[in-house]
Amino acid sequence: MTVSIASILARMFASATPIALAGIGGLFGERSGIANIGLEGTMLFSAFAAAVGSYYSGSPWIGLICGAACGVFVSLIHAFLCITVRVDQIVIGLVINIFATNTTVYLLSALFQNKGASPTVTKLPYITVPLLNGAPWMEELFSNISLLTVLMIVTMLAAQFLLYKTRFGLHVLASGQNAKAAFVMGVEVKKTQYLAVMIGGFCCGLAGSYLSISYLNMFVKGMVSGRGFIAIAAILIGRYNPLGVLAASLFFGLADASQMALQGILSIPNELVQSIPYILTILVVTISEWRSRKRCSQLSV
Amino acid sequence: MKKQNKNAIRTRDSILIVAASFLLALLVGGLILLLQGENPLVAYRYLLIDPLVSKNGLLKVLGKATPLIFTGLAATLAFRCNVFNIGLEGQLYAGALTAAVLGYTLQGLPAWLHLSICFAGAMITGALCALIPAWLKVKFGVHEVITTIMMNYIISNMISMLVINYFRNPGETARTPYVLDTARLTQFKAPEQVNTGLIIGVVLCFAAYWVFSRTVFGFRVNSAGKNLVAARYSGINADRLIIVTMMLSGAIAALGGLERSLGAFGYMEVNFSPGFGYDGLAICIIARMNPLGVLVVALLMGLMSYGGLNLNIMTAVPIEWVRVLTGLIFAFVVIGNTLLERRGGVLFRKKVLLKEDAV
Repeated sequence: MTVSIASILARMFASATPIALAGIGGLFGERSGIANIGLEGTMLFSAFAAAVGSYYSGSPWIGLICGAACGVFVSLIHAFLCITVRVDQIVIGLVINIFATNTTVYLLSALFQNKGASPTVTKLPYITVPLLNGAPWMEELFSNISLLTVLMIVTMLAAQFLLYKTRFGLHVLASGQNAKAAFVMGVEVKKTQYLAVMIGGFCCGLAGSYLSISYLNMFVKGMVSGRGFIAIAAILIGRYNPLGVLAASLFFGLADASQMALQGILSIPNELVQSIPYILTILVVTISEWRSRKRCSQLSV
Repeated sequence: MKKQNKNAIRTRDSILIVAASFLLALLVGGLILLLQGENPLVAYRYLLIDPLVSKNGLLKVLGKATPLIFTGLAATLAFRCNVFNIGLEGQLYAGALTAAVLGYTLQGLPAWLHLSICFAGAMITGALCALIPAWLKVKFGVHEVITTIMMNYIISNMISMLVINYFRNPGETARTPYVLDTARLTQFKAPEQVNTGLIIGVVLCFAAYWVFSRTVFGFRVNSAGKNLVAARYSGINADRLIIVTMMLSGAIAALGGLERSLGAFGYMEVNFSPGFGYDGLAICIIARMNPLGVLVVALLMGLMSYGGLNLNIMTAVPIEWVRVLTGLIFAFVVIGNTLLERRGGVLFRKKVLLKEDAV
């Protein structure tokens, strides 16, 4: 099997898509002051909902709507528990993750009598960027792009705009930095947080849908496999801003793509190669936290 | 005196909350069963009553509960210090593999020595697996939730690699050979899974209760867990404390794996755990970080786990329904506790006013 740089890049975008979308989902909550450890579970629920929607309707578009709606719904519960009931944010994230793992498997076996995977469903269409497929390497890179990958980049730009250039974005930032001050200034903190978390849930829903109706064409038990947590790492590394998250996600996408490319080639066991993205996550988060800590201590001196 | 009184009410309240959550979860679970076309009452008989009326059933329940006691206790240790050790699953696997490998490779040792080596090996492996995230947290400020989860995936990959390539029993797919007799934990009744590991787990729970309520170390952990800054100002070396509790937590989780390898199965299989580590976290939070509570909740989970198998045989209800039920209990307890704390006027970050406050 020959591995071209273009095919690695294409895979990089494919692997980065769910991480970036979930990352932007977590970012909105995080910037409004609501940490979300439950990204993983939210994605899992959405992936399941998208697959079920696409299976029963036959249309991937309905699946996409189901997935996104499911993301919004789960995040609404998350927001209610965090903002109104004020449960510890990390604990509620754990609850969502554990709940998602078990509930999706239960529903799989209840609906499809199969605990491992759902039947195959219709995928979202793949598109080809028309003007850019002149050279063969370009063809590899710009044809067969998942619709959601394109949507991901649009979402990132939209998020950057929404967060820094609009009134709502400033309210989100204010609520996250100092909720009391924001409240005194007349920001409706709770409403802003609810909205921010639900926008995040929508993006997370897209991320989950991508996995089950675009990346694969079925729901597989535990298919998110840590991407929700890698997304949290991407938020940290991206310094809590959308373009940073995009860059960090592309980095993780590249790690995943090279991992897949290396699997057949290197003589070391595949399990080691498969661990590369996870090891890299720990390393990169450590470096990034260490640098920000150093910067803080320099400031305080 | 007044404070003790208040604490007594809180303990009673939290038991009430767990009971109410349990009933509420049964109610919701029953509705799900109705949707599936099953009779909830029949299902609950198979789930909760049947296992308890026969001796075999009781033994099976105890066997299922044993690893949960270890992981629940391990979660409690770290959580008392306000560290979320989500890496229990990985630490459990690491301990299980170490114990199994030492158990079948070391030959010609007397049983006490062989077992001691297995225990030491498993605990050290588990502690080392927990040391990495703890050290990264203390040294660089990396949040342990990310590192421990990533460690779980890495360890799970490593375990399959090691078992399949190096420690595989010839002719089997992905499990080690049986451990030698000198390394087996005695089973109470041969085909069931109950073994001396259960006693070790129970003793550890009581020991932990004693440590947290009667020793300086326990007091320090409690203070650091409640208010890190205040603990630092009062002269507690919080960094060291975080590292020590995490390593202890990892070691105990590893013992849970050892119990499976040397006691219940006699070998170690890839992917043998149906999520003992994650269940441990739920148990710890349901029991409100009380080691004796962990014991009770773990037994309850063991009952539901075996009852779920029973249910699966007798009716068409899949075993995962029971895990959904567990998740519901977990969620309701968390919400109930928070509401209770808010009414008590305690700030939202802190979960528990411990009995040991009065010490």
